[in-house]
Amino acid sequence: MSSDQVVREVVAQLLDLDEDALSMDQPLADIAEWDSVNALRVLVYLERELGEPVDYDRFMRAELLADLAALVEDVRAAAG
Amino acid sequence: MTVTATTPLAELRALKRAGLGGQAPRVRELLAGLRAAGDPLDLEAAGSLLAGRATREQLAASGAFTARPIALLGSSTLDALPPLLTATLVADGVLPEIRSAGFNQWRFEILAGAPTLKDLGPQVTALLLDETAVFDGVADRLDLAEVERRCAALPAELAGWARACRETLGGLVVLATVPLTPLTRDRRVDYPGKARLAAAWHRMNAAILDLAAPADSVLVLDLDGVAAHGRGGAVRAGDRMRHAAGQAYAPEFLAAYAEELGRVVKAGLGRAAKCLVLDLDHTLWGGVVGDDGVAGLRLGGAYPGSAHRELQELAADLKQQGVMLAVCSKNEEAIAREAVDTHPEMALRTGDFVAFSADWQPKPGNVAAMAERLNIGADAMVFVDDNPVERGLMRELLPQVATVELPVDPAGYAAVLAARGDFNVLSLTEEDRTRTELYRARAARAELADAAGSLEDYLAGLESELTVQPLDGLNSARIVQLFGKTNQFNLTGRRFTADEVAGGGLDFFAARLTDRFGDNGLIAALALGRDADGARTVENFVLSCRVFSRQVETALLALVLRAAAAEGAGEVRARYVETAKNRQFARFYPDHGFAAAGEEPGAYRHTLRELPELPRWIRINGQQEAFRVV
Repeated sequence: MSSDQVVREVVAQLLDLDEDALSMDQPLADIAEWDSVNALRVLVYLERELGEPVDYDRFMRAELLADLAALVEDVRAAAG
Repeated sequence: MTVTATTPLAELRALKRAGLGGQAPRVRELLAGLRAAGDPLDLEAAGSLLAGRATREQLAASGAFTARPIALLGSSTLDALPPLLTATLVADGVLPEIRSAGFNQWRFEILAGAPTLKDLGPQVTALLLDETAVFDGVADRLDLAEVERRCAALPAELAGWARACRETLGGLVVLATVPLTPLTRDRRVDYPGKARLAAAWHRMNAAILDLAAPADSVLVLDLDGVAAHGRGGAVRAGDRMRHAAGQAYAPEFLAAYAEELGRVVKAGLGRAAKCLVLDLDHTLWGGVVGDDGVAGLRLGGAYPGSAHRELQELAADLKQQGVMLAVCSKNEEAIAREAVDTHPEMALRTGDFVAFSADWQPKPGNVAAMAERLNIGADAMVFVDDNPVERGLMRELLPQVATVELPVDPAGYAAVLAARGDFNVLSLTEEDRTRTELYRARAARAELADAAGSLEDYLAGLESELTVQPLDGLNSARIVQLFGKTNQFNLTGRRFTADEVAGGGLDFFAARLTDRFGDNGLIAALALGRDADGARTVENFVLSCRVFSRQVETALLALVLRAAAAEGAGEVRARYVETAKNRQFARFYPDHGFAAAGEEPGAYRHTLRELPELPRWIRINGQQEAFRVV
């Protein structure tokens, strides 16, 4: 599964959103359900999916879904 | 819209989108699967999906769920708990409405008269504290004398809190012990100091556990026991989540706590399982008795015989506490009975079982017949079988039965069954301890029925004696329990709490039945009210299924009418409200001379002009106006 797809699925799953309506250049701040609690849920869930820790600072700095996907991509690359 | 649902979570979302109205069974199945898989993050996500108001209304409208308002209070962030509890309870057919007071508001909320929770009317209020609730009152956490004083004071503070909570919100209050975190243990460097801290902490938790008072509807959960059921045994949240989100507890622990709280809620609803159905070969003993012979069975002694013996001892202990045991096995009956009664290492004999089914018929049919004979629902039965094929068949054909997923190695059988807590109840009564005797006497009665020529001869041969008792200190717990757990002969479905029974607004009565086979104990409870015009009202009437078909219900209703007539009430009013399980008694009132009252369906009245006869084969002890209140 592509990193885009992983991020889209996890965000859609946890926030109960329509996957097809999520685009990668969507600002996270525009997603009504994206609050601090749900952001942390997404982080924990992503870490479980990846089986690897995710950099907290970089996760919190992410502005777009694409930023999350890039983060996931890097975690996967580093894990080999 | 076609949806390819690859995971249970995705399917649940797709169902939600399409409308959950008719999907209750599938929703329960998906949640049960997620629970079994044991990942708290998925379970939490599933619970969140179901938490919205619209979703709840759809599920409620399906009629497949019992609604339950629940309040959760804590000293840390418990965001994950409501969805976890929702997922757990919905899987079991309970639709919770959960409300929490804000972060660390547990004291203020109750002291202020519960502004957030009051109108919810929670039937269960649970308090989950963490270490901060102790150290909030400590200036120097290295000062052992101060910590000891704080630990000694907290239990009394919690007792006061629980009292205030009961007065403000009513319902059941569920407290819990407070775990000591490794970080707090480890920051002390001297061993005597570590020991002193641990001692103070254990004394505090022991004193908190001592606050349990079932008669006052206060329960205390031992969180060490809860944590032992959590996957991985983790209690504390990961360090980053503690800092970033103020969470004290790990998702795995919260999932285990939600399971335990779910069991408490179900016990309060009378949903605890009542009968344990056991397979024989490779389950109660190692080996196949038909092939290996009684002497060849592995039971007791060295492993694996010790593991099968352990399962039997667990079953025997459950029986002691009122759980009925039954055998359902594919064997020749004579050989199976011989093995049970003659093997020296058996902890159970045939006399311990209320039903013994050993034949070659499919098990789901046998278990369904057993439930019918015992007069309990199939959803009150727990099925234990080593064979995955038998388990699959039971799940497929009789999904209401709780089928236990056993590990491959029998070494784990007993621990897995015990950990499920299927039989947990809020408290035990004397009736629970003697239930198997009651059911065995019932079986003897059934034999008499076969021998007797007619039903009347049979009933007369029973020599039944009925005694009506007004509410008193000795029977109040049993009256609350009868209203709480009677599902079939329950004419309005209304449960009365200990508070309501003690409250004095209604007159409560119980009835005891004895016969030539023994004492059936308290078998009926009635709540009678009085309308402004003097008419008597039957607010609810419940009768234990043990004494069905003996016209005890007819006798009791006739006594109520007699008492009302004797005290000059103009009429007796009663209502029947249909529930999921009481349909067979829909015509109870009209069949006993009541006429429909007004437009409201299910409302009845009896004008007392003609009083029904008392069944002549039941002797009434004491006066025939036993229900009269003077």
